[in-house]
Amino acid sequence: MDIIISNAAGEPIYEQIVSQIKAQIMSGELKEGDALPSMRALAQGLRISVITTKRAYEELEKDGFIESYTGRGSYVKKQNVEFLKEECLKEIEELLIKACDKAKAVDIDLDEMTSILEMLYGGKDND
Amino acid sequence: MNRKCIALIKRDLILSRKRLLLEGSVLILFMLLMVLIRLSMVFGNLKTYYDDVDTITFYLWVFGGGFFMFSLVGTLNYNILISDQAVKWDKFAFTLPYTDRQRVLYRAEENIITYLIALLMSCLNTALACAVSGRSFDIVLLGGLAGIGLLISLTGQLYHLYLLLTHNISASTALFMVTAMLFGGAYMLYVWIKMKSFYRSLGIELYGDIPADVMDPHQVAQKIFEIIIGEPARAVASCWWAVLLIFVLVFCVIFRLEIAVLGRRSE
Amino acid sequence: MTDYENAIEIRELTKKYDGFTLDKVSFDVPKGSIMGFIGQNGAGKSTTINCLLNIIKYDSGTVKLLGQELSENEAGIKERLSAVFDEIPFHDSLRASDINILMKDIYEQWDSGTFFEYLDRFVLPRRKKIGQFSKGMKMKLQIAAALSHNAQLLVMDEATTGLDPVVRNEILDIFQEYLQNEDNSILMSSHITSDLEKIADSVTFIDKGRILLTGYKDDILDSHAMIKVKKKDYALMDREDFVSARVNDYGADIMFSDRALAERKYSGAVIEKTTLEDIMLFYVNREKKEWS
Repeated sequence: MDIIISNAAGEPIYEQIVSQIKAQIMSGELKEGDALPSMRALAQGLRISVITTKRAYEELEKDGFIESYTGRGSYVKKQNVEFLKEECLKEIEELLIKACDKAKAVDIDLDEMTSILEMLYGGKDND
Repeated sequence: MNRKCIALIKRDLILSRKRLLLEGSVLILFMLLMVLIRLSMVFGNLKTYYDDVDTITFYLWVFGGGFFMFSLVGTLNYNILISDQAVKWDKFAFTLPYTDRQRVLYRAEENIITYLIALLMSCLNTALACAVSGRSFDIVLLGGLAGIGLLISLTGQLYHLYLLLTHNISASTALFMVTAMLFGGAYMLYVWIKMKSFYRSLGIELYGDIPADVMDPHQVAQKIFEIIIGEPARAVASCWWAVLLIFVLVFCVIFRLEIAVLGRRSE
Repeated sequence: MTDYENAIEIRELTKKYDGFTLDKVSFDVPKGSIMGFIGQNGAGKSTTINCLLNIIKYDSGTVKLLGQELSENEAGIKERLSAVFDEIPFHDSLRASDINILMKDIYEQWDSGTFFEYLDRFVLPRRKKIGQFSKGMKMKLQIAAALSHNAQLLVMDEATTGLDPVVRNEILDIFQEYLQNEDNSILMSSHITSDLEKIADSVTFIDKGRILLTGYKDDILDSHAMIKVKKKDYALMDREDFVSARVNDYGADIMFSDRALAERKYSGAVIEKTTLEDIMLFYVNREKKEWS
């Protein structure tokens, strides 16, 4: 499992860990039942405080991505495909809202937006 | 003597490696020197017909050597004390699993060990002196040596107590030097006076003027006991054991005091 | 052995000297964590540590180590703790092998095997006199000794001060390794905040004998905010809102202890990520309020 954290980024470290692990679970890199490193081992490896990794794992558990058992560690939870899709949809919506706001700010109309979207989306299919 | 105290004593011995070696060499040199002087007196340039010079050199050999040995070996751990403060071992030692009592006890045990070693070395020196001079090694000599040792040890203990109380190394050292010299000088003077009166009784007159006869140590002890407990003292204090008893009592008091001072530490 | 929640519990610790008072110091070091004890030179870090280790007697307050008060069981508690100071407390003429001989009889749980393993790992010679070691080597030797008797609490007083960054990093790694065991805890005092920036779980700030802040490091860093504003904007600010401000010719840096407030009231300003060093700097000047 690769985790890269940046001290310079505005995002708190535990959030960076959460989003990276989430991404790996959603992409399939981390599969159901895979064991995550212990909070302490992760803290040692990333050279950060164990409180930070604990917080990250707690949030992942709260969002349903992992399960933690005292004495045994944390494991990737069986992922509901629908659930994952919903998570992604939420993020996509947020990104699109931002794009739309920017577009409106410089007077780009819906038609232009749609053609941009088609080009970008379609472009990916053609690769 | 538990393992923990032995560990601390071991440390002191390891640290004194060099010093013990040096002292051992000095002792041997001293003994050689005295033998040479003796030979010179009998066969060579220092040949003399005066019994008293011979006596003086003998007693100097025995008691001077004894004094010397007790000062070096018997005060081994006090030098370490000073360097301990410099290295901050004393601070670190407070984080080790010892009770205050053990901290003081290890030093007391060490004092007893070094005292006995110094006594042994003095006896060896004395035996050599007796053999070369043709005198017998009698109990009085032993008692005298043991007495010097106890006095020096007492000085050292008081010095340590003073150091604990004031943390003033230079003052303590100065005090120690002065007291050691006073004690040493006083003891030498006492020995001299005893010798002179002894020889006077034999009809031989030694150098110098002396005051009227002084009391033997056990007579002094008797006096002290008399003052404290009255008539029954005479029975108790009729032997050298009384002197020893007083010393032991003083050491016990110092022991208790050290534990108390250690417990109060607020730097 | 009692079960305990906090490796160190200090309540209202007070110690008076001529000209300096440790005033009602209170903080906890939770079991299994590393606490960074931060403050300037002379702020009272060493005095606090000396008091809690019973090197000097304090005037009032209570100290519990590993769940017990020292007066109950001093020797027993000290079997399970190690203290490391900035200077190695062994004479120059001693060797690492001598230290092993000594410690074997001093600590019940001393393990020579573990000690020699650490020596090998740190590349420290066994038979060379300590006087010939470099500063970094001396510190590593102390740590090797500290970790070889199953201690559950490590107290470090300015131990990494004066070491080069490479050695400091090595030592911090060893601490994190030590903390893999959840029963182990560390109290580390330092004025080099960068060491603690990353690995400390909690921090305690002390200044002039008083505790300024104590708590989880993440919480403290997240709840503080440093904003940068133009001088004219600074002049309009409410002085009650912030801890202190560093003013120069080109603007002002201001430290807030309430990030939410800062974001709310001064939303236009540039908000910087806070560091422990910044917090120390700004709090030390809190009485001056304005400094440069």
